[in-house]
Amino acid sequence: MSYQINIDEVDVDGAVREAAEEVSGDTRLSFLTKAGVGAAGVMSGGAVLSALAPTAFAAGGGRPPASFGKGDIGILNYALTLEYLEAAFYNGATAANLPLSTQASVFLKVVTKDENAHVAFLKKALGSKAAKEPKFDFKGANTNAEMFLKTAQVLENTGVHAYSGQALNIKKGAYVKAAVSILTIEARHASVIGLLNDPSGEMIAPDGPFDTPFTAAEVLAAVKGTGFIVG
Amino acid sequence: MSSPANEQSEQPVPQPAGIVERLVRDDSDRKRFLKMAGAAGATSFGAFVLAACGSSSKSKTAASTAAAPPTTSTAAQNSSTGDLAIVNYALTLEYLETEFYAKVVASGLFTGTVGNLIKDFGAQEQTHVEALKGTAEKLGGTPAAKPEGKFPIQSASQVAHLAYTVENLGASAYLGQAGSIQSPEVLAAALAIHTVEARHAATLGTLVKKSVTPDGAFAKPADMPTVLAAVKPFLA
Repeated sequence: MSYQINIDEVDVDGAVREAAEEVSGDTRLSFLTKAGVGAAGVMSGGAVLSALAPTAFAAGGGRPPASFGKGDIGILNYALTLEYLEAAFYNGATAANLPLSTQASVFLKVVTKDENAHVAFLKKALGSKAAKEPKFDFKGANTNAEMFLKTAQVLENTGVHAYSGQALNIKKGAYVKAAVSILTIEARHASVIGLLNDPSGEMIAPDGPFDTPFTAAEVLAAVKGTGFIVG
Repeated sequence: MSSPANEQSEQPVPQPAGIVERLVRDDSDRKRFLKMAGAAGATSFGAFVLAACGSSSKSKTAASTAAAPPTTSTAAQNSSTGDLAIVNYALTLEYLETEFYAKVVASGLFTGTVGNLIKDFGAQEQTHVEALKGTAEKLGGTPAAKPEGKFPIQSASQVAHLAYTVENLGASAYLGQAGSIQSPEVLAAALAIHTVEARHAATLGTLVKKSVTPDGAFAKPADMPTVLAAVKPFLA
């Protein structure tokens, strides 16, 4: 069977809505700069450990809703859905032939290739259980150069937060390895677009010395907030 | 662009046979690495390197340590093959990175925005050092001692390329341990640090006009012998 991911249907227990309310008032772009562990500066190792591995994560919490599938399948479908979104966003941006700087053009080429490769990999890993691609409406965010650059930064950092949040929930070793391998790439993309958008370098590592894991509910709330998934 | 299947099959499991044997046999190298890992952790670090590689070294010391009988206490096993050894391995790398950036900052080769980036990266590595020291203690162990590094600091371009190499190595070193870490807390810490290494690496790639994703769409892990061999020239 396959899973058609509908952002409203996955909101099974209101967790997404709850998280969305928590972040309301934030713009889409500022959402991801919130609450970085690193903002606290140098913490003791113990404090860092506790902050990096909140009980929810250590106990296997923060998983995607059951509608994505059971166990690892659910996590992979959650990842696939985010990768579908990124790939579609970049494919649209490529097709739009945006007036980009040389560096931004190189970025777009790299991310388009990488995110489509991630989609292909996850679809193959999931086989017949792979979620179908949702319908997207990027509302012009990938057909306007300035919006494209800002949104790409948000999407890539969301990818980092999402994979970080699920890495500890994955059971099968091969999937863990694949997920952290992809996680690295999302982080690389995020830093490159962060530097492009802010030459001061503040957005290279917006969370500071430690990237923050997000629960699936937090990520889905952020995705829902963009309105990019329409069916 | 190869398909994901190819990406996977292309991924070599770096097993440069002989590196570990060489390290163990070459007494000066061995001493250097043991010194690097700190007096208290010395035996355990070496043993971990061996155990991690399933070495069939004929070195008596090494063989007997690596093939420790199951009667060994839990604490001893943890320090020789468990999370503590991985944490101390990471700590040693972070120490070297921190020292590298400190020397680069002191060199005055970089000013302005790039100078600030280098300072920020160095400060983040220092924070990783503190976090890993605390983690080693939390695991009931002794943090590895700070090694003494030596880094060629010649020109801005050369240093930037070296930084790119070092950060890429750091990112793949963490990736290489992700599957071996037992404690969810330690894994969470390692992953949170690892993505920041990746961010540094890609940023430096932009600066030196090299690939920001040198492995393509799937980052490749580096195992301990590979990393140690690459790090060797930077140990005083």
